Amino acid sequence: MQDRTPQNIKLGIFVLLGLASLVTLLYFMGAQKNLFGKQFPVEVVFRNVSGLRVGNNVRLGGINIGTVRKIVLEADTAVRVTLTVDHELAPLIKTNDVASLGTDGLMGNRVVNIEPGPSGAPSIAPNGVLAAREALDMDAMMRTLDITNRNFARMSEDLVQTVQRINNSEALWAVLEDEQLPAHIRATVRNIQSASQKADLLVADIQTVIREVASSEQGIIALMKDSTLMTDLHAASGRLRRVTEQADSLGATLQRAATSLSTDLAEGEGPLNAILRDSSLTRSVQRSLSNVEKGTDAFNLNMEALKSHFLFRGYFRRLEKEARKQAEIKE
Amino acid sequence: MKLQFPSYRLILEELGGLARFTGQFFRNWAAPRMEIQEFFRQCYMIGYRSVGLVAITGFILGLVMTIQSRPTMARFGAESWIPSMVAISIIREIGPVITALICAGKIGSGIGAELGSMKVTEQIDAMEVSGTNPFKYLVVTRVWATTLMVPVLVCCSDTIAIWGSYLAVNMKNETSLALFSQQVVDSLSFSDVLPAFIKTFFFGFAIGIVGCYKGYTSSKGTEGVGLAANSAVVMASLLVFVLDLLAAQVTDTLGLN
Repeated sequence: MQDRTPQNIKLGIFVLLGLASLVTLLYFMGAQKNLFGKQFPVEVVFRNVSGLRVGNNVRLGGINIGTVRKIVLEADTAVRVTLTVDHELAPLIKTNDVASLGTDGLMGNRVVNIEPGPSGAPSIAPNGVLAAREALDMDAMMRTLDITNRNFARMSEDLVQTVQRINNSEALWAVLEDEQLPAHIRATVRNIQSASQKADLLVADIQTVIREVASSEQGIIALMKDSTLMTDLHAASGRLRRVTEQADSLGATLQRAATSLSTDLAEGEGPLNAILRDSSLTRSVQRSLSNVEKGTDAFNLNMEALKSHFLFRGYFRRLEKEARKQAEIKE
Repeated sequence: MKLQFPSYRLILEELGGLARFTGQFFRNWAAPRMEIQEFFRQCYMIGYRSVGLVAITGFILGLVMTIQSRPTMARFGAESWIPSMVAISIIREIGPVITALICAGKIGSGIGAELGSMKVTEQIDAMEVSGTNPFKYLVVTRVWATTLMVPVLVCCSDTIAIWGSYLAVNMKNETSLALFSQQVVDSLSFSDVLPAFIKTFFFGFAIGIVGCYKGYTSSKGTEGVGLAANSAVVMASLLVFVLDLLAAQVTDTLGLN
């Protein structure tokens, strides 16, 4: 009996170690699946759970806080999923949070993600129902992708045609291959820069003028604000228009008269033509004019004699005196 | 056909003999006067004395599995999945089966040779004459010991294999123990661990019962001892695989996969 005691102790240690490793593993697995400790049930009604299974993880903010405990198909479009989450973390789940289905990694297990809603909502009660956001439908995504692919194919065809047209365009290539073009463009840009500098100066001058005008009390702004000015301008333009019309009609009349005169001259009819073309009449007129000139000289002599006459001499002196007075006043 | 008939008959004969022997075990397993001391001695001999071999096997198993699976996993960019993959492989299947085969080789052959030599040297007959129930003293204690010790050995083997895997992961990458443990625990579920643990009891029982049957029914002198040890290993190994197949079918049927 005595010699077997150490054997039994070794055996006991061996068995304890073996079972302890198993129990430890099971404990951590249980802790991972929230089997120990107080649990808090929350419910979500999905339309489609997309392969969600009992035991899948529940995540809040990307951290596992519980597991899926029960999945019940209530109707053809309603699947009630009961989640159990850690009782201590349950106050973090608010009534307006939204549950959605996700995947752990690219090809991993399904998970229920609880996404926070707008802040300010109260914490959810036990067995409270969270709103559900439906998972992305793979078929719908593929359908959309198919349409996108077709559009891309069409766009690429158009792009090919466009590139071909660009390649075949001689004008475009001539522009691209023109070695003088860059120099011209540079010169143009320089001119534009110069023009813009001048424009800047001009604008500055205009601003100065505007400031001066604005600062003066009797400025152009006051002038522009004068409503009578517009009325006057309107009336003036009306008059101008009438004058122009009259000038037009006068011009037309003159035109007609000139036309008539030129016609008369050309055709040799009428009094004007007779006067201008009759040489005897011309001579008699010249004689008459010569007589008139002689008559005028005689009249002048008579007038000088009249001034010297005692009857009219006082009258002419008074006239001279008044003329001198007027000249002095002007000076 | 004439050559196959004896072997076919032999298999049936072996199965029948084993069934009768198993029945005899169940008739005696709870009979009065429990051989507790002998049971503990057998547990020590079978369990404790096998720890070293099982530990080395398990360690190499975890190490090699990780090293071998790394290139393939790396090709898919899934090196971070190595802990999960190795843990599931070891705990669900490879750990229990390899440990059971090691035990079949070490324990099954040991029991077969020990009981066979006792049989051929008529020690068992002498025990009967002395009033001791040799079946209860020799067979029941050994079968109970293997049934209970093989699961413990598998637990040790699995644990050491996962440590070996951790070492192999850190040979080329750097993974903290916390992250590795987390990945292992995350990847496992009770449906992985418990069916695998339960089937190890059946493996232990099969190893014990086959070893005892072969030894207890050996004959033909010293030649029969070697034959008993040899056939005990072969038959126990075969039974381990058959039981593994049945366990896989049962867990699949019950939806525990």
